[in-house]
Amino acid sequence: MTALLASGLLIALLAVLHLGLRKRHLETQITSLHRELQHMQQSCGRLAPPSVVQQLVAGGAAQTAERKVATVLFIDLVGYTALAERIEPAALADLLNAYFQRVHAAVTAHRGRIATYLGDGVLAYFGAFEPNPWQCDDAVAAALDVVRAMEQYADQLVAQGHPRLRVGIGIHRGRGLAGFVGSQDRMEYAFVGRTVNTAARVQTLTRVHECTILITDAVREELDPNLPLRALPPTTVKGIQEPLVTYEVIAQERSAAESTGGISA
Amino acid sequence: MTNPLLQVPWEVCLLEPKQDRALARELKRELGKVPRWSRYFWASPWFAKAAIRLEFTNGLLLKLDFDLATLVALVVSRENSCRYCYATIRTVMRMLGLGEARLQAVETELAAGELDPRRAAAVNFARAVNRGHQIDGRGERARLAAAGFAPDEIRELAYVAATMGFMNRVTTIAALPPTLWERASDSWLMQLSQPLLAPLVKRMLQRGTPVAAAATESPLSARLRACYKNSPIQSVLADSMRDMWASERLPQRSKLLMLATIAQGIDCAVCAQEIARLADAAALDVGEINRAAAHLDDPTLDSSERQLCEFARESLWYEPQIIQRKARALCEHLGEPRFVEALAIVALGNLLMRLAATMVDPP
Repeated sequence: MTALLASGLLIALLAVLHLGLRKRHLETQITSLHRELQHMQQSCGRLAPPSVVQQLVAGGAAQTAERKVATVLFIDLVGYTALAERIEPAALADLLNAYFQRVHAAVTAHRGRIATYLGDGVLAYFGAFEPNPWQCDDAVAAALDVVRAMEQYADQLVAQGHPRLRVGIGIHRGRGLAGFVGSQDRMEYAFVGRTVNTAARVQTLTRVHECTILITDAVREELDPNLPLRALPPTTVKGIQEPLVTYEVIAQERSAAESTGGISA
Repeated sequence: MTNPLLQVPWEVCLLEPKQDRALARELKRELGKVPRWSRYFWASPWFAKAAIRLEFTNGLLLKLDFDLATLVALVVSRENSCRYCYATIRTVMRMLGLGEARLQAVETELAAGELDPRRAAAVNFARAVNRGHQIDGRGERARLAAAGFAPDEIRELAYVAATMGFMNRVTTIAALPPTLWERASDSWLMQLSQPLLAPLVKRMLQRGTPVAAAATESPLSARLRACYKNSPIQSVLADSMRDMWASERLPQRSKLLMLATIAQGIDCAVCAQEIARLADAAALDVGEINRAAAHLDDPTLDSSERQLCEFARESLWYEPQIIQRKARALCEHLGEPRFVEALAIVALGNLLMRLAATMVDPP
């Protein structure tokens, strides 16, 4: 009888112990999953606005879409195609990386985000991620910094015997759709719509007008009126019915503090 | 896996805590306490006083439940990646008796968006106040009312959300060291001493009592004052604004430029009107102020003003390490007393502008 009672107690004790361990294990798993979720949200915060990440968690990708006004900057490397055929792949990769590095530094210093690299082109947004009432001034300041940085880099390339490279930059501001887009396997936070296409078309006009930075009327309206601009004749571009009115941004000497977005750190 | 907030890069503290017995006595006499964190800001005594007075635990809430206020404070600090405030609030919650498992459950609910409707409405409202760009104050308040909040609770919730943003800016920009608080919340000592600490902490959470209209002269918006009629919040806001405006460390034009930059950044019509009123009172050209704020560059701006506008802009949406590095550069340029003053203006400016945008209806 006593043995039976003892074994019963032992079984009960083991069961309690087992349940306790099981509970502990589940709690550890929950804690770990909870941390993982927070880490994912923290990491996603670098790829998309925090409010969008919360909408993504709560309702899926479609819930993140919203209409926004953003400024789009499109950069292309003039003379790249001819150069690409002439130099070794490793040297070409070095050159491209040096160029992208300079563009990235200038864009992020002025609170822009690189959306994507398209061959030798770069697409960047201003005001698509966080609200930015100074987005046009920022985009133009970034463009001017890109031009300055690339002029210095071009001098180095010329000294190495390469032809002089230069950039062509088109900037346009307008409405678009911001949100997570893509396939199930590959999704990214993007700003899409006619504004992006127009910026790309404006960039092609830099060759027509033989200038470096071109902006549209939508950008000029919001831009610091003290910035010198040159009006160019309206020009028709592929895919857009009305001729595009553009302005060339005239580069000026700026102080180091100004060219790094104000307070240097 | 560690708490993700602990991985937010954080610079070494920009300021040294000060020793000043006379000021410590003054604070004790006037405010009844001398928090250790306030010593970092003693270079600007009015600001240290204002920051202590503005704490929502300081007898300012008449109606709002303290548990909800603390949850909102936690959410806002997390949103702003403020390691210092987040760790402090977490520790306070532990002291009040919230076990680690319960605290983690709360954080999981927050991360997964699984709060009950009332708390979810409060959290969303606090996020809107702090992320604010074109804050739809009327709409946000209506959503809270629909979730069952009374008008007095709504105004206090707006205050808690905005003042946490204020504290987040103050402690993040100065990079106050968060490590002690981060260790404290999970320490065995905390677990052992929690039963003793809980009654002490509960006593620190003072509930306010209704007050008559503040008699002090202050440049604070009459419309914002009206929102906090009969609340002790009204006088702490009015006093803070009065002291900020009266301080002579930075010219009124610089202060107005910084406030106008913040108003421009959150795109608030009510705030723009307040800027015009302040400019008028200080006999400054509001057109010139607005032009400078619209582009953060104007031929009338001197080098310091340009940097102060840029700093005000940076304070709107920031990543801690980036703003801390920029703040260090500004501190070296201005010197510590003027830097603390600039920090006070951007933090207070964000608080007042966001509160006005949330609580005051545009005409």
